[in-house]
Amino acid sequence: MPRRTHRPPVSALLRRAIGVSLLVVSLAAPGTAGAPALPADDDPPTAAWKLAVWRHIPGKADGALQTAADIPYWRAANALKGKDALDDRRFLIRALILHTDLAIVQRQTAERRGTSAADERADGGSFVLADGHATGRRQGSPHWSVAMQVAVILATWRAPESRRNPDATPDAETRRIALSWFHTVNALFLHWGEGSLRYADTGLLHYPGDAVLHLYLGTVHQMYANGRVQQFISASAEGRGAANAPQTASVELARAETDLRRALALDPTLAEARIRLAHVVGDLGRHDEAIGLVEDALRATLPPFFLTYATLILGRNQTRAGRLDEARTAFDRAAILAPTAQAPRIGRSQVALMAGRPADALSALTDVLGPDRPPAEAPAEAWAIYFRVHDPVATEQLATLRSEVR
Amino acid sequence: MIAFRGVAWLAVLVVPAMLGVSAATPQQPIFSARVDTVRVDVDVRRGGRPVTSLGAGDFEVFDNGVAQKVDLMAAAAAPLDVVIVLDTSQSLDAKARSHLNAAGAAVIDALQPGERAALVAFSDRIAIRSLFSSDPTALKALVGAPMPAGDTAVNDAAHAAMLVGTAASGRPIVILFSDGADTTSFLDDRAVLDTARRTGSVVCAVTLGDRGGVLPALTDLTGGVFVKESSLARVATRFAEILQSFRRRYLLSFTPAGVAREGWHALTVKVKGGGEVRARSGYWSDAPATTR
Repeated sequence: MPRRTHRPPVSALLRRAIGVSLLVVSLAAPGTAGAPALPADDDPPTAAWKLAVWRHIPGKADGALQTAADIPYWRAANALKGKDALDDRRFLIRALILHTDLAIVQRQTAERRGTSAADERADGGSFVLADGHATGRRQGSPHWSVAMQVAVILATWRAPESRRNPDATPDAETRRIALSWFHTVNALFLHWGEGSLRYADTGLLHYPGDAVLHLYLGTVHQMYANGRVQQFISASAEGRGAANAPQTASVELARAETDLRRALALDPTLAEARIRLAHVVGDLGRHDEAIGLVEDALRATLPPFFLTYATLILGRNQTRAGRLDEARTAFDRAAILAPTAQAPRIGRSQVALMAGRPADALSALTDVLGPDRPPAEAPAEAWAIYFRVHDPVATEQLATLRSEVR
Repeated sequence: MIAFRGVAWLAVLVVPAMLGVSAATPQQPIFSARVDTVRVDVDVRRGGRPVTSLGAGDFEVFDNGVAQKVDLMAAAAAPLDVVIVLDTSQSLDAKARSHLNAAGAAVIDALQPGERAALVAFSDRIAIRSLFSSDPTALKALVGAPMPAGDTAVNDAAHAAMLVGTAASGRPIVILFSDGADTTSFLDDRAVLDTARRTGSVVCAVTLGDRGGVLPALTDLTGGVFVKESSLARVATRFAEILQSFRRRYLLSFTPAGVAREGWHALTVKVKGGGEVRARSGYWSDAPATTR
């Protein structure tokens, strides 16, 4: 987690972005766990596509984006194998941004229409969940695959003049941009409530020592252990049967713990990984260990969202460990950080009840949730969206990535 | 019979019976002397049919395995205080919600003089819309009040409802509907069951299908019923049946003897001559409350 202190108001961003809570669990369809085979392409790379790559203004739904959308995605994918494309680093970075922007626009359009992003089957599809119930299937935009193809090329890219030297290493600056893409896309998918392992898995093939990718992979498993996904998995044979399907909560929590521990081993200053690990370890019943982890994390300067989230985890585990006075202090602090949030009040009421004060327990709730207290329009509070938020937030990461096009 | 004056009714919690003390605020008692009385709400059936003609001598109650002397209380001495809990999560469409609103209103309409209701609605947000009230018009106006759709925080809602029940002056009953298991609560199953042990409500739940989550265990622990329903149109009927069943239940009371005061007390209730007995499986007793 970068050590910055100023952040835009995450809750406002999320309130707009999340609205009614939906989750999307991306799965590879049975038998299609690998990359889909692309159609053979006898047509050479189109000039129109190349022109679109050069002309697209990052982040804009411009004519170049429309031109690229009109070209079959597999034609662009095949064109990326051409030597002239591979040699030009600037062109590849522009192609990365173009296909990422196109995938984002297609996703937004599909979400508005309630349809799939594309007719072409580029992955195994996803289940769209509302409150743990599957409400439909969705195909992701195939341009995610094209963009990832570019990112993989960039991750190993070497300047043409260095390719004769077998000892030459990939260009570090280019490799950094590709890594930034893997970070951004993982953060974006989680921000949208979409659990997909493929971007973290693929990123780790090329950056096995990257702590943030391990963090994102751990967060996807943390999300899979969430009740919303677990309800679907327990009720749906179709969901269980798919490749990469989420497993039981205990299995997913164990996987999350492994990935988050790797992240911390690689970067002990990664406070977000420590906070999430504390959450996971607490859910596995190891409350004292969770308390130690989150207390360590709270010694760092945290952005408001993670400060609230960490404080809730602290209070939750202190409650479970029977450390009621400390838990009350934690929940009081969380209530100050998030005055209208529900979770701190629930936590306070539980502590008061366990301390033998049922009247205090009830008033802890009625102060915020009681009669004449209209419920907030959307529960964009830490406990409801903990797996959707990263630091920096996904939209900031995307803006930074787009700025790589110069 | 022990006199109960100005004391919050808790169906099976340790109830402080005050001696020589004027009526205190129900939840913040200060005692100069005290006798603890436990009240147990019991349903008895034989062959699935309720048995309504039993006397105190027909019951055997064991507190942590120790037999207790039991009194039978008149139902009129403890009117029902019903907490209605309705799911408004996004998986329920407008038609489904109208069925639920009708079910909530039907419970309010069925209350008898002296009985009261409170109202809790939930999605992933909890709204305690009304504490106990005997004004049916006001309550019914709140049943269908707007509520943001969201995920299902049934654990948090059950916790809130049982806490609302601690403010009851009669027999606290929670009648809860949810269309599925919990997906987003702050409290896990174990925490909700702990709340049930420390509060006195009898929890009854109606769910759609089999996805009850913690609710079967919660209703079993508190001596309530868990009903799986396939049609939302029949939820009102199920609510009415649950309410009616409480008018045929027995109210037992006893002053614990021969057991330690503090901690968890496992309860066993038996009926001489046999029968299917439903009662909560125990109660929690805290340390004396003089300094709380």
